[in-house]
Amino acid sequence: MSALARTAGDDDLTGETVVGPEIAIRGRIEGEEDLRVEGRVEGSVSLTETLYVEPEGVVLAQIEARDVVISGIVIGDIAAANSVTLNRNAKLVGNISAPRVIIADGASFRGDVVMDHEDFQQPVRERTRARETVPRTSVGSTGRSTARRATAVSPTRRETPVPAAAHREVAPRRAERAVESPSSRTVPSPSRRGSDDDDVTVVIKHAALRKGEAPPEEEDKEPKRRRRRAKKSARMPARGRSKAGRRKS
Amino acid sequence: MANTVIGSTIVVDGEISGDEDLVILGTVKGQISLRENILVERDGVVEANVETATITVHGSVTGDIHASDRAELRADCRVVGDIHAPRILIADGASFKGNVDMDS
Repeated sequence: MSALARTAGDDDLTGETVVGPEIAIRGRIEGEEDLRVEGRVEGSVSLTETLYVEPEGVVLAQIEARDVVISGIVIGDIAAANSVTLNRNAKLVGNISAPRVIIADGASFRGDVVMDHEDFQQPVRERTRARETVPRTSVGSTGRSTARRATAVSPTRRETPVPAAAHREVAPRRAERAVESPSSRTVPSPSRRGSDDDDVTVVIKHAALRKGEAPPEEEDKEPKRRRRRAKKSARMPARGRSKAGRRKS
Repeated sequence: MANTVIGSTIVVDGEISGDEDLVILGTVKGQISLRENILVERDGVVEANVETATITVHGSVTGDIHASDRAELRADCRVVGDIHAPRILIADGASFKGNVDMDS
């Protein structure tokens, strides 16, 4: 693909930038097209395309480019996104950082070469992100809302909830979220929702179990009420019962 | 004929010097000193002091121009700066702000 573009650029002079043999540029050159140096360039070069240093070309610069093809003389470090090619008569003094480095017979080179592929990191990052999103949001939001609820119900007893009760609450809360507002979750993918559905079944069982210990007026129609009562009963059965009664009246 | 071309996406920040023709389609900032011809194309931008034999401007030049032979400001060009040249041509439609000095 790039080879085709390059040959087309060679024929069409306006498609690329040429620094002719009698020209010297000192300073910074940046751009998004091929640059062919037949003269002299000092400073720095930053391209998104290819830098060609022709046999008569001399470049004393820090170079950043997608590809660098050297047939002349380069003194300076080269960072290429794709490749660095040293042709037969190339002379390079400087370090190369590029996934692909080609050095032809007859080229002279002094410096370090690093061929790290940065591409490897990205998929890993995405995978960890995807894995963490679900538990983090659900657990985090549960913890937060639990604390808020505790304050609202009984400010004085905020510290009373035992770890056991908190644990019990995690599952129902997550399930209810999935039922009530699945869109509120940050990135609900189909597969994840599937696992939440599994949680829902678990939750229903828990609620049923808790019904036994919960106050007698537990004839729930709405999932919201069930959640509140269940929590209260877990925390402090007697008070919860009295309050629930108060609220009803 | 021009050997050196600064392409349309290229930005040169610094100094260009030499002995051959220069065509500017992109951007040059800093300083240009040539003994040949400069052609600033329609979308070319020069923010530099320019020393040359001849300069032809279709695009935009900000900076002083010293031409040993000729300066041509073509229609639709924009030039801000002083011009020193024995021959100066300003076409109808050109926009220019600055001093003109034709003493050679």
